[in-house]
Amino acid sequence: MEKLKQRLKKVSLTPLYSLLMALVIGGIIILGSGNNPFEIYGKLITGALGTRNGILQTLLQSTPLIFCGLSVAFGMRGGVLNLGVEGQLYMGALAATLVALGGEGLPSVVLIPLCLVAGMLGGAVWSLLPIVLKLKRGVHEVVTALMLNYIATLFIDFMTNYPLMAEGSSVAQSETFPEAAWLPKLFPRSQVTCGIFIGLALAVILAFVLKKTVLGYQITLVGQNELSAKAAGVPVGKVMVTTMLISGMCAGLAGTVEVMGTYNRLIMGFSPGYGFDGIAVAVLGSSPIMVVFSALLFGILRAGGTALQFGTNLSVKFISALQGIIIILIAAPALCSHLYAAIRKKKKTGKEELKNG
Amino acid sequence: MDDIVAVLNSTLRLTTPIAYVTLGAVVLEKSGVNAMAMEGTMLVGAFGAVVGSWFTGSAWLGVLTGILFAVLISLVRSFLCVSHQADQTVSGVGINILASGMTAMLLKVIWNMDGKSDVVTALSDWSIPFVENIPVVGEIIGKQNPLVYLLFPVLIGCCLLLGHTPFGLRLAAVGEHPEVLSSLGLSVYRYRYIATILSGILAGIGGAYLSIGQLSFFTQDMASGRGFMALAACIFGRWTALGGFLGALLFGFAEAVQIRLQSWVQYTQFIRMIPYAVTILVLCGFVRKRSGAPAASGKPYQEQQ
Repeated sequence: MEKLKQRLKKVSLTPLYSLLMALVIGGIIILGSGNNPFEIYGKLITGALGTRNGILQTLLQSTPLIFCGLSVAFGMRGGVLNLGVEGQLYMGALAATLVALGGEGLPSVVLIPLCLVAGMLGGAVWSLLPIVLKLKRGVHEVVTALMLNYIATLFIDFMTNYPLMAEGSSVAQSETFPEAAWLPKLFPRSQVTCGIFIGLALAVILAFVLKKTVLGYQITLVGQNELSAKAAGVPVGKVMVTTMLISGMCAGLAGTVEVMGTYNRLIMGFSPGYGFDGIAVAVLGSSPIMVVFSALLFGILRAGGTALQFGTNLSVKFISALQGIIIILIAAPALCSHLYAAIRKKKKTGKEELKNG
Repeated sequence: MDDIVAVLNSTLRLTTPIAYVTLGAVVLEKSGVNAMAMEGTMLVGAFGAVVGSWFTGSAWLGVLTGILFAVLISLVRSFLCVSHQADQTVSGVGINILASGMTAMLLKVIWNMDGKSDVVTALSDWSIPFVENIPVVGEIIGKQNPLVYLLFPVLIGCCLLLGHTPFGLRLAAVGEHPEVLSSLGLSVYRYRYIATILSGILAGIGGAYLSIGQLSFFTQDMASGRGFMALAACIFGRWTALGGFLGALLFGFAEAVQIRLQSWVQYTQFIRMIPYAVTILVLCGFVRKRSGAPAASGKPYQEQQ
């Protein structure tokens, strides 16, 4: 019992406070748009969890968020801010698509793992340039990665419009994959696939790598303090590249699971910004296991957000705004303690005034 | 020949928004706050300009509103990362996401439209008498948007302010060694907030030019990476106003060429990649050891009471 108490004390509550504060600020924004915040938040929750369809939609939305959140969170552990998840997701999806379409006739047992590996490689390749440029030329990885996002999106635009475009299709999308490359669906009349279990397994694996392996220890050291890690003999450059590659693999898997599970084909612009959602998921969750919960939370918000399209003047974009607020609040852990200190001071002076008066 | 003149003319037009934001990035980075949030600031400026122009019917009041919005969002970010030592990169990323989400959401609240605003009053071009009649030169600079002309006095002002005034030198000191300035009894926070406001004004003008200078409406995420190009231009110019402007000119040129090529080539996707590829190339060619970077940029600083 004592042990549990001590453990609980160690858990940082900053993310929770920040989340609550963001919801309050979000409420003020809702109020400003002429709506009742309680009604809107209620609508969000019932939209996401109130019906069978809502719950399935939540799971569907959470799946890519788990992968993207893991991708960003793993990078952050090692001091690498991977903002190229969106691009890596698309390149992973593209690699998986090429294998799926090329592997027609192969049985599922072979084709599905092949596609997953291809997707991981696609994501990893696209994550390489930012980290190499950071180490070799001192370029901030964030800017390179963001530019590569635009390039990847345009490349997918090209691929789905010309070489891969399905015959007779009027929109930019590839042919449907052979059925052997479809991830098994979990529920009838829903697109939720066993991809979500791949995500959960990945979270467990990454948690294990970080906690129990030498590589994980080195990654954490580099993330905490590059200089002292170097002094301790950690090959910082190598570790950073590995961190980024693993992060890129997670991102690639996000896209792969989407095309193999949800759509069964590559569609231009299939991601509504999952890669950027991943930042908020990772900042809120930070450890791989917590990322899963944080992804579920944002899955709820996304699924509920679609319910806002009907009957209100708000849209799912409100969720993006909320994510931005959460990120900036968590980025400023001092803000909470400063606020807390200010409130306490006020209370104290208030009490003293009472005493004196 | 016509092509060259057209490209030069559009280079000037496309350089303008990036150049304003670049100047803002230079001022901000000089003070020791990184310019990761320029993308979002510019977007908010573009949105504010359309809102202002929509409600007042005057494009110039629109520009002012854009500036106001951009300054406000810059102040929010500096409140977090100057006064409360937030991680500057993460908070910058957060601001960009917030800006993208908020503006897209408000499109529906204000105009009940998705992805695009209504058409509003835009700034109309000025033509310069006599100059516009000169062949070639007149075609390039004779008839442009007022904000294009305004860029040059603003650029000269920034050069003078940063390089030749006590304020500019102190600002540079804040970005290099905040402790030193603090030990002289000057407030680091104050200088960083002044830089924040200046950069907000500049990014706001740049954003306003995007929405009501070049066009007459707002589209979702219309900054499309220009805030980061500005950051790259700032690094290209080694954190000087003039150098930053030259960097912006390079990006403006890349965009102008890109647009020109689009009508000739079938696979336009590859052409549209050019500005982004140029950004990466510029960065790997010029950041070597971050020469000229303000030493304290990106590092939180807590003022002693």
